[in-house]
Amino acid sequence: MLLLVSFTTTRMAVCIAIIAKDNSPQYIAALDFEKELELQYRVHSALDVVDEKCAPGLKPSQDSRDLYLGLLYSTESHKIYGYITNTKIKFIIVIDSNSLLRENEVRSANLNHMSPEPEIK
Amino acid sequence: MSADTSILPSELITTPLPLIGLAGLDVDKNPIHKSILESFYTNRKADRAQIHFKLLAPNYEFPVSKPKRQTYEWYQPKGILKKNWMLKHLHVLPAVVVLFQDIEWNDPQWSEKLLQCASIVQSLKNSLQGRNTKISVVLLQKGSPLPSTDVIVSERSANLISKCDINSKMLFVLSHNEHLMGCILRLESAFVDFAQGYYKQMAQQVRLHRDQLTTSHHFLKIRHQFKLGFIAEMRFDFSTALKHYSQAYVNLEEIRVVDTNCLEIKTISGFLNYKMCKLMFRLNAPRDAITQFRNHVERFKSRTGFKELIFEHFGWLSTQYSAFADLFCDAIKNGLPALQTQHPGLYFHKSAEYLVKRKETFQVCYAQSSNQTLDGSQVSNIFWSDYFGVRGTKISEPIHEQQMILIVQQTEKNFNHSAAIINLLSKARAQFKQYKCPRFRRKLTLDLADEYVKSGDHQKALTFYILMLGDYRDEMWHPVLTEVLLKTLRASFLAASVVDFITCSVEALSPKIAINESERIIVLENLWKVFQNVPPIPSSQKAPELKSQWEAALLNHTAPTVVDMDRILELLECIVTFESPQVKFDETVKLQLYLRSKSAVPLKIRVVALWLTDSNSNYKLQAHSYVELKSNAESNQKSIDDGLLVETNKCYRFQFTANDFNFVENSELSILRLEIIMGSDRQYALLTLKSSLKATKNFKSYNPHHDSLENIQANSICYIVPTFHLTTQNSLCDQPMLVNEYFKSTAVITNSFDLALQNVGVSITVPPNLRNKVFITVDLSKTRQKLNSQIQIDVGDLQMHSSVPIQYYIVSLIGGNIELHQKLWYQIDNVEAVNANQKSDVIVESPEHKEATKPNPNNKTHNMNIEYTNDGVKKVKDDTIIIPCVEEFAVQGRFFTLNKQAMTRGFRNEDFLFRVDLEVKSWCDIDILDMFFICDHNLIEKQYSKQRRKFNSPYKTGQKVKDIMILHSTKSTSQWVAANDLQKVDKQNVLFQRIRNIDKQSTEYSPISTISSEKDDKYKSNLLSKIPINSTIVPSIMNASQNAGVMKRSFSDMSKGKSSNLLTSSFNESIAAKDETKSAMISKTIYNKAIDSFQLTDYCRGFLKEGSYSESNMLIPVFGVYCVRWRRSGCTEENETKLIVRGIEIIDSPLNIYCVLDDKMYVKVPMTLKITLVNPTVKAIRLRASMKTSENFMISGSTQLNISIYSQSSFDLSFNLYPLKAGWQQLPVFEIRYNNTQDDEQNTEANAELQSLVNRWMPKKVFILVSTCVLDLGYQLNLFLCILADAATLQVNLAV
Repeated sequence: MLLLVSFTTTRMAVCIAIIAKDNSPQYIAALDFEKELELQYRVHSALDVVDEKCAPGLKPSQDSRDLYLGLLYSTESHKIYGYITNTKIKFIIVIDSNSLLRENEVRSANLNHMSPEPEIK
Repeated sequence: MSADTSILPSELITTPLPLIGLAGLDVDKNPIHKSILESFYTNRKADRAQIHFKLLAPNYEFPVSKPKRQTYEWYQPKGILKKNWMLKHLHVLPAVVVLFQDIEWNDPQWSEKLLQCASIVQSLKNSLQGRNTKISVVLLQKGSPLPSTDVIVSERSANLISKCDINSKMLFVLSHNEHLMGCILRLESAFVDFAQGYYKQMAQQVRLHRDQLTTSHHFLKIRHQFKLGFIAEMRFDFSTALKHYSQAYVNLEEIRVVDTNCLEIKTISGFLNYKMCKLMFRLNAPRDAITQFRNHVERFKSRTGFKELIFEHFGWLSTQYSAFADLFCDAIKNGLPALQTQHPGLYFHKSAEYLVKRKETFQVCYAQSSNQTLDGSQVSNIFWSDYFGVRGTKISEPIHEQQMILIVQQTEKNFNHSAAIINLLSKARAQFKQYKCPRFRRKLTLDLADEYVKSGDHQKALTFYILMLGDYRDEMWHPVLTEVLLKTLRASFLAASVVDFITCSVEALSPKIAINESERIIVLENLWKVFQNVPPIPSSQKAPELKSQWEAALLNHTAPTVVDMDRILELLECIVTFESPQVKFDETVKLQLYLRSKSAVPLKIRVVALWLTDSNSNYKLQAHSYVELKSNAESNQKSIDDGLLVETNKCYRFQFTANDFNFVENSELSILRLEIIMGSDRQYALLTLKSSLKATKNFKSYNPHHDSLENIQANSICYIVPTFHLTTQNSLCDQPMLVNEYFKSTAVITNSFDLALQNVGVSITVPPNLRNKVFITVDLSKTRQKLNSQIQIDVGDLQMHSSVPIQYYIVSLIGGNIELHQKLWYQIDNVEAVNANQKSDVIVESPEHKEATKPNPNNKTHNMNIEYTNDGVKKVKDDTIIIPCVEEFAVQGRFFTLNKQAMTRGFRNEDFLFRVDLEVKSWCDIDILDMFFICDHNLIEKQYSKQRRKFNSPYKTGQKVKDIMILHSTKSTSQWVAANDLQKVDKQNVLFQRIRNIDKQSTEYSPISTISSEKDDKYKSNLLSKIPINSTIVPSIMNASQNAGVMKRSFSDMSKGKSSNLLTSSFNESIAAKDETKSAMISKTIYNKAIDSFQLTDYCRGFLKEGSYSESNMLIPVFGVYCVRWRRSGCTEENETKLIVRGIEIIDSPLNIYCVLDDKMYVKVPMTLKITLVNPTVKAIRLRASMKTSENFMISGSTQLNISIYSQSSFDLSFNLYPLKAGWQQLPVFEIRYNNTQDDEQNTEANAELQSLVNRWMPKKVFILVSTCVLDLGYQLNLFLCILADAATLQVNLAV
């Protein structure tokens, strides 16, 4: 959790969310308090893509072990990435589209910092 | 002319088609002309040529061709694209003009008509001067066409061509007959060719102009490229068209964008982008289209133009997006697959977003300039312009510009933004739904509702909001839910919807809705205002219209407003529990409700009611008082009548008592719902809780309240235990029963109620898995018992406070716990006395009930069934009786040779021993009355001891009894049956088959049993099927006194299979299945005494054999049945254990040897040893016998003899011996060999066999008595011979 917060505070991401198995939010942190509600809507909508990507039987070619879902969707202002654990806990990260963060950096952020043992308080 | 410059004109959006003009058709008067025109117009499907036809009136005026410029050097156009150019070429100026004329080749007025036609053609040519438009003439003729070789045809057609001055290819003849449609199609394709030629020519012309342009002619370059692209589209050359449009777009980019030309550049770029994207989709390059569109938007996003008209820019962007989305949609219709992350909905959404921005920015701009006035006279002409994207003349005087901005703003005011936004959002929603984005769609729906609110349609907005509330609530996105709920509340307030306002207000009280406390108090206050029938409008606010609306709504609304609390999160925490999971029928059902409010504000409730249900009817209970629970104490009981203020986080308990209802007995009550009323008498909310009462928490939540609410174990169902007026007491003694024992069971049925019961009955049933292993009987007379698997005892009426004993016997063939089903029933005639309000047709045993009883183990004891009949109630109760059963004996049997050697197979005409070891296993003492063997008729039993056997009594556990008998067979087992059926039997020692031990045979078998279990099973099955050994069974209709003949028949019946399933349940399924139903019901009579039963069958012991060998796959002979009659010490009931003795194979021997000694032998008294050799074979045998000398005996007579024995005859050898010593003495060794001197070697084996026979049958030792003793041995000494070899085992009968 601390890592996530630091990830947010170093202005790499504008919003971080942890979503439970039943798609209810467990933790949402947004950089800009004013935009928090708007970002929540975005994160919530991004779950559509997560659901679709994790739908059983749809994509047998995709490596099921690859828990990093990649770019869920992007708009002019934001890019949303996702990561899902084996227990269907989702990590959603919203990045400013103008940010210089590259795709592979997001991936490493997800894998290295989130996957081993996310400390959910 | 529309003021909205952002809208794409329709001529741009339609796909350009070649225009063909149809002249000379008089549609109104001439039906033939009409039908021709219709066949051109109608049925234009994809397979027909893509043409646009236009009917030209006789006086149609073609646009006049402008004179071409010689040089473009000084020409500066005022705009890029003329507004009329596309329209002209799409709709006005045809590529081909087709003139239809009614002229027959053989027309009598040919020359006149020819002239007329020529003049029309000429006038067309005149009006089309300067154009390349082709003119074609079609002659309409009736009847079948004349061949072209016809003289008149060729002459007159040539004449026509020359007169009209047209190309010969442009002349057609259309015969108006049944093949009209085919002719029309052919004409069409010819016209398309002409059109192609026309547009090709036109393109060349444009290209010619282009070549004259210089680098400064930006506008013209773009115009020409656009024209070329458009013409290429007319020619269906899409890739060329795309090329030209792309070039035009590139040229456009070179122009510097300033505020004044911004609108035009954006308009034209929008046109070009639209055309490019459309063609890209058409050419199946959707990625290119998307990329192009993105770049386009990116490039012009920042080109806002005039600040005062920035809304125009957003309008333009919105249009770009929606136009692209439409193109995308069309492409999808034509088979393009779209993705969840890339579909038209995204563009519609974006378009809607820009439209919102357009609206917002307009409002800002308008507010800034609202004080400026406008001169109305200029409005009309300011938008007029020859060019796309150009307003008025291009004079950039500041005053003029100011005027223009004002006019545009004024026009914008008339635009209905909300309608457009709603339209776009609806389109986007449909797309998002299609591409599986439910959540995104929800967001769009919210936006839509927001827009409805802005447009003032609160009712519609409310509908959408309420739909979305549930979705967000289910996903537990509370921050979002809070926003939606507040919006809904606002919408319901503005729409004056009482129900929604109350529902939303109640939900807003939930702590999960993140509003601060002051807001919550306002919500509560407003809610109470509504309850008091007062509009919830703050007094400071002046809204007379809304107020009257609310007043009307409140007047029309009738209470109650039902609020489903299951959907509202964690406002009230309720636990309803029955006081006990089951109550007796005459007891009162009590329930408790624990209630805790989680809201930050106190709630005042009035009535608390609970609905209970059994599956048939519902019952309502109301609480009258409550108790407040504190950490460890309870407050005093208070009445609920004047309301209760439920304070935050306090726990209250309500007591419900169901005094007034008569529940149906044997039913299950469950909680249907809880109702809490909040509000005034006139207006109130009915809060219902249903499923949340049953919700179970997986984790125990942290309990910050010091009350017991968390620890309550809720009983969600209550079983109404029916009253059963009978009790049974089974006086089974503590001791277990024994296998094969007739065990007496006594049950006392007691009616301890003040009620007489009718038709009392009890039935005992053997469960299916124990059928044919356990039997029940009521009659235990000496000679027979009827054995049943079910007995029913009808007691009749039972008076109040009386009891009746019943008695029956159980006999089991197996050990273990025996479970019997006991069913007890009775009937009460006067139902009303028992159950006052009971309806007669109530079915208690509903499926739900059964299902519901499963998880509740408490109900298992009430296996009761209640049937309501017309004249009374019948109650049936099922019980299970468990009787432990233990073995009485362990029995083992073996066969031995006379020399006490274990025998694997016997010889014909040989005596052998059969020894039975019986060990008492019973826990109690047992008197053995008799042990005997009933042998098969192939066998002869000889008594081993002449003395009648005496049994000690009683036998205790672990004591052993032995029994030995001599058996003899005169036939080999192969002769017992047809020889071809018999197969070699594996080595098999004596086997005892106990019927009761079917399942655990191994313990009973001799350890050297090597027969495979499969064979074993099969054998046993067959055996059992045929030999009702353990109980001789005859049908019950027969009396014991009936004559033997009948009996015999019945036996043979049974041996043919009827009895099979009586004794064996596991084998031979076909038979079992056939007779199962019957056999379960037929009672059987079983003779207890096996001997008697055999005698009754006329000594027909043959059935044993018949039984064992009638099946072809029989392998092991059965020697008979071993019976043990016994009883418990001190009891009178006799029992009989019957065991099947499975034998060994008996074969022919090459030689039988019998040896006879004197009864008594004394020292120094001569004795005779007589040896009889019998040749059972069909050949003569020659033998050499010899008697070896011995120290202990003197032998007289010859000791070596050559003997030859004829077939089937015998030879006696007699030796005189003279014992020299007393006591156990070794007899002289006797030897025989085959006397085949020629071939000694080969006979070694045969000789060894002979010697083994000698060893088998010849005694080894004799006991020599001392001559002086007077012995009085009462035994037959020939018995002696049998027991010589092993002295240790001989003590049985030698009481020396």
